[in-house]
Amino acid sequence: MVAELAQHIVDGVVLGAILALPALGLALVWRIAGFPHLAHGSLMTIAAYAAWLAAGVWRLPLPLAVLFGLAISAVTGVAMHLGVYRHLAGRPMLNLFIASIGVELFLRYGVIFSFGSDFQTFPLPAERGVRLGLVVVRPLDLVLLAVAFGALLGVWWMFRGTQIGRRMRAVSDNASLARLSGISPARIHLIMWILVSVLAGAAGILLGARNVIAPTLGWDVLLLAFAAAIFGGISNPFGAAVGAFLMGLVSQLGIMWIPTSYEEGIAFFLIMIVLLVKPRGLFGEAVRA
Amino acid sequence: MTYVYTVIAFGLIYTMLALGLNLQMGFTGIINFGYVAFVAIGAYTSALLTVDLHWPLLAGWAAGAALAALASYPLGLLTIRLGGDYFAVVTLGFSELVLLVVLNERQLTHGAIGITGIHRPFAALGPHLSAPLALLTIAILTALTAYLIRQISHSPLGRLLRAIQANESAAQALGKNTLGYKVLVLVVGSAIAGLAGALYAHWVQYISPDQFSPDVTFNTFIALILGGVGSLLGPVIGAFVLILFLQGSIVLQDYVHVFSANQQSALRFMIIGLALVLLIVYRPEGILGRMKSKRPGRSTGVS
Amino acid sequence: MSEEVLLEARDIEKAYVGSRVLKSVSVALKPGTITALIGPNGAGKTTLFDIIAGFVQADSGVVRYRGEDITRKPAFLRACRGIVKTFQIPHEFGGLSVLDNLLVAGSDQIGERFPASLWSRRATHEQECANTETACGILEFLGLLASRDVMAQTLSAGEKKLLELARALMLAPRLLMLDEPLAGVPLSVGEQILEHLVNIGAQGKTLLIVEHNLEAVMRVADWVYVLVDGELLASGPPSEVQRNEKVQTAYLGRA
Repeated sequence: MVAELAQHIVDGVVLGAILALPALGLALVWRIAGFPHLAHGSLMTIAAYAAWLAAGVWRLPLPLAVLFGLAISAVTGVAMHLGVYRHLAGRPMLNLFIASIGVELFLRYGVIFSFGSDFQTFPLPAERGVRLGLVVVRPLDLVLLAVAFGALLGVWWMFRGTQIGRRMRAVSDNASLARLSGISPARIHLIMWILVSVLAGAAGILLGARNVIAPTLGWDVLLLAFAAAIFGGISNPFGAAVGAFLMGLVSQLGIMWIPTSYEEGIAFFLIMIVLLVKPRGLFGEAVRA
Repeated sequence: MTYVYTVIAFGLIYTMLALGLNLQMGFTGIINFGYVAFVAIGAYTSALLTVDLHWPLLAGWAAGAALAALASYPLGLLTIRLGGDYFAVVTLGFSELVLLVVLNERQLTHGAIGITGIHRPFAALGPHLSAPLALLTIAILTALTAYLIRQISHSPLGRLLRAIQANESAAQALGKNTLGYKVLVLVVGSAIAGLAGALYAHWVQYISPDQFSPDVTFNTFIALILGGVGSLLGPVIGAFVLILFLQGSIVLQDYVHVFSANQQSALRFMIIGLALVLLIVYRPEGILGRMKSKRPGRSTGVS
Repeated sequence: MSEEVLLEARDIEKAYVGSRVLKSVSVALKPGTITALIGPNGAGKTTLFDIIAGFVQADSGVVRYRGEDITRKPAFLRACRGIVKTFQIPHEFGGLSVLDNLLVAGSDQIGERFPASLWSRRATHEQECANTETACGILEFLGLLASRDVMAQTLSAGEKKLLELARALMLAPRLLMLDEPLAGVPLSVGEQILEHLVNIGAQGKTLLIVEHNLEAVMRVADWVYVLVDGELLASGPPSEVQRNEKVQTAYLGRA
């Protein structure tokens, strides 16, 4: 029982680390561009397929393939922004939201069109789990954890240590105030989209390496990522990261009592509970009316 | 001929779906991204009651609409006060949950296998008569729904709903229970979705969970946006344009062999996605423009 | 509770993210008077105003209306009972005509009930006729009758402000609460609005006005509350408040 619990905790932490990347991105888009971005999962999927194409078909070395995947998701994200969302700035949120469905459909079925609906896997060497006390850890999971934490630290550093990061935080705190103080929203938006696309792409590649690569890879975890973002309160990107870890833990621990087939349903209940207790998320500040 | 019937039936069913969504989104500004959940509840309720429990058809339909409405009520009470974006995500989650229940509660819902042998209306009269008569029934119910929406739109209630959409806190300041009205609209729209789901189940005679993916919600949004959100005739036009495109591209598949079948169906959804984006960017008021009644809400002709 | 007071807010406390916006503030409104709530920006005027109207919940304290505790009542129920507020930034229903904006405000409409709205056509029609008559009367009183069929979103800023007032009057409020009725309108319209307020007050309605324009407030108000940094600095008739030294240094000096 204890061993099982410990194992679920490990799985939860790994899942949470991966989820933290798109959750952070969703929170940033929600705050800065002003809508829940439904096509975020596609960024993950596309990065995973691009990396797989480079590593599995073109036989490029793995680091190069990963870079290729990240570059493709960054390009996709920027294309979404410049091609669609930028034109809708200032329109009601619903417009952006629905446009993001269109983008999601286009990209998801674009992936199916190009690669078919079959699962793919990365050509990774077979590995054996390493026993660490009570739990068995796959070496890959350690790599995933390291990468995810590295990415989170990178974003944290960017927000604290660089001017553009501080400006982005300023815009996410108060868009109209930031505009008044002369921060160019166009540049912030562009950099924000590159950042969130790379984060989502990294999560997609990590998830693809841990499980399989499928056209709905990103869509399947989107709701969990939304749950994490809401859990953290969308006004606080790092709340979303914390939310993601909790979400990962709860959903993995939940499997112990809830049938595995309902795993995705846990996200819904968590969203509901959080929103009922605190309508602006657990880490969101009360906004002055 | 059967093919033409199916195209018309699907067009009518999507019209009904778009009408219900229009009441929620177009009139009141409620963004319901879990719309398909209520379609599924209606379809499964009616199918299970008529097939497994041998209820009469009309009772099954009524129960389908009623249960969909009933399911939306607590959801609305709990979540309608949230901001529109939160509400959209919550409802999306709700539809995933309903899909999970349908997939996993095999003893109740027959799971992934689905339900076969659902009766068409007038099935006893033989296939030649039952198809057109069933179609007629669907047409009448769709027309009744459209009439209901029109009546609401032209009543003081419709005027109030537009006011709530325009500015909810102003409506509250004028003594209107806006949350109550939003729940009401959610429930009525869900009942319409449930009825449409039941009609769909009894037309295709076989339902399974994969027919109720979020794509149904998205298609309904597309139909509504094609026709023009908030207009009265828009849902009809949008639904038929969408169905003609979807079905037409399936017909085309038999003659054009550039891509594999799988690729062709993927291409279809890529086009839909692209169309949705282009519409939102360039024609947010629909392909025909917004066809408003001349003065929304001025119904009773007082002057 | 004597009949001397229409509405009373007692010991109202409110804090946002740690900062106390209202520190044990109490106000009382006498029936048939015009009361003004003044103070510098960020003094907590609008918060207090919204607590009375029911749009914001106080952390502690009691709001009593005609002797009844309404602290927990939602805003729409307060409006039904006669406490009607307007917004500082006009909240018009843009896609509706001016007349429809007023008709929405009509209380207890049969045609707004569902499903009754579908069949009680005659009753609905009669009520619509009566409400239209009332609405036109109000529009005429405020000089808006000429634009009754115009889309509200096309009105000028001053007209929108008048529309706010007109819509509120549609409910025949006992207590009319106006949030900066003069803000953002040209001087001439402001004068017009002031005149209307005096006339409305003369009809026996109770008014609560949050206003920035001191000089104007002093002219129409019977009683003034001065709020500074979430605390009640002074209260009294305008002439008395104007002479108050604390008020002069804390508010008038800075303004």
